[in-house]
Amino acid sequence: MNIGVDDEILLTELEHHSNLVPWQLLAQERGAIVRYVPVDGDCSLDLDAYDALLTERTRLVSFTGMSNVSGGITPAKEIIERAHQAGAVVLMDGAQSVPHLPTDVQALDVDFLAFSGHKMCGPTGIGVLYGKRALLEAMPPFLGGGDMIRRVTLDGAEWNDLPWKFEAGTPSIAQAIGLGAAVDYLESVGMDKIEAYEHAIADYALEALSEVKGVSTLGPSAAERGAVIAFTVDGMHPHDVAELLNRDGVAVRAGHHCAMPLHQKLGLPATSRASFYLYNTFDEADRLVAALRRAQQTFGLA
Amino acid sequence: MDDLYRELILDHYRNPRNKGRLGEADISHEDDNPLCGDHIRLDLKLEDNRVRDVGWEGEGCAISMASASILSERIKGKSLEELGRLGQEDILEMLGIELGPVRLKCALLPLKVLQAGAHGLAGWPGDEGE
Repeated sequence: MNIGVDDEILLTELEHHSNLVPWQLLAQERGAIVRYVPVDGDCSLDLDAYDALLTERTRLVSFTGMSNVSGGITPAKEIIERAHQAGAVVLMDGAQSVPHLPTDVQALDVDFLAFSGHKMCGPTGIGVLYGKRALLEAMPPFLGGGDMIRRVTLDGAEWNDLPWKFEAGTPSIAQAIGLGAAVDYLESVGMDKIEAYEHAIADYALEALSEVKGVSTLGPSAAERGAVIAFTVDGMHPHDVAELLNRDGVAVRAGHHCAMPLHQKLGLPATSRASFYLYNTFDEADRLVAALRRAQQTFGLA
Repeated sequence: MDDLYRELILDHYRNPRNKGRLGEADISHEDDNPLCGDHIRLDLKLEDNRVRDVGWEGEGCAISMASASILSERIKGKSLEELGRLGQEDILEMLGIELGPVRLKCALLPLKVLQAGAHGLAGWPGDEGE
């Protein structure tokens, strides 16, 4: 990427650490500046602030397609369009959105899209980076080794065609086959169906959770989100909530979910988080609620 | 329903003993558990090298808060030398529970703060041999 001194990289406060730290490292290395689009109370991006932060110094905009904390689906098309108007290249972090929503890189006109295998029923240790052909062709390889060359002499080397130029060495064969199978599986179910099912189960779970006294959920309404639901319980630390639910057979996670800046913004040290996917049932949402009530009883809160 | 949250732990969590800052403490130290954001500050007043009074403040889960509360009761009257001998097993014995590696840190944070304040020790209790 052509990022130099005083150039700006524009991210958002919603991001997972994996879409913050690499850019902070790059900015340190190049003397560039990282700026952040703020979020409001329900963790939606402030698009007016976004417009104000986009300047002729903005070289790159990178944002998540879906928050892994609030579940909020970001207005990707709008973000990309405005970035392009400002002359910036856009990378979308699809690690959360690609497994849960239909994704059309051409309709989005996104320059780069990244996502991970293990978030979508596939193996760990593999991910995908999509890039527009012209951009990838203009980029030098980042790793040298076998397969990424067309010809090597003692004086130098010629690079192979895309995508091999970026695939030095023995590929992750088993992981690639596993991820391919996962993609086939999700496609056979239908990404439209998965999206609709997640909206329905999020709607149901949010409604059920709203009836539990002392429980607050983060993020927007079911129509604007995926089915990951972070919540807090009055009088209970998120780690105690998770510990009790886990011991009761309901697997939830507690912590900052690799999104410390977002938690700091919300004034929360941590949250508990339930994640629903295509294999979860409405009955399991009921079991979450029942286990939460039992946890509150254990703490003498209900 | 659950041994981890036995009555002793919940009692100390809901009704923490010795909670609050001490004015003019002889020893004052604070630390966080970066894994979960738990925070403890401990104040000690000494007399003849023994703990005359103790106060603590903190934010965190029931295990870390109960551990701080129980520890604060146990260390009153103890000499600094005796405090230095307190280790991981003593905390687990005071709490009366068994813990996995993650929650163990919650339980040990108050002792870590105590040992750092009283004896300048930097590591986690129980990690000495590693």
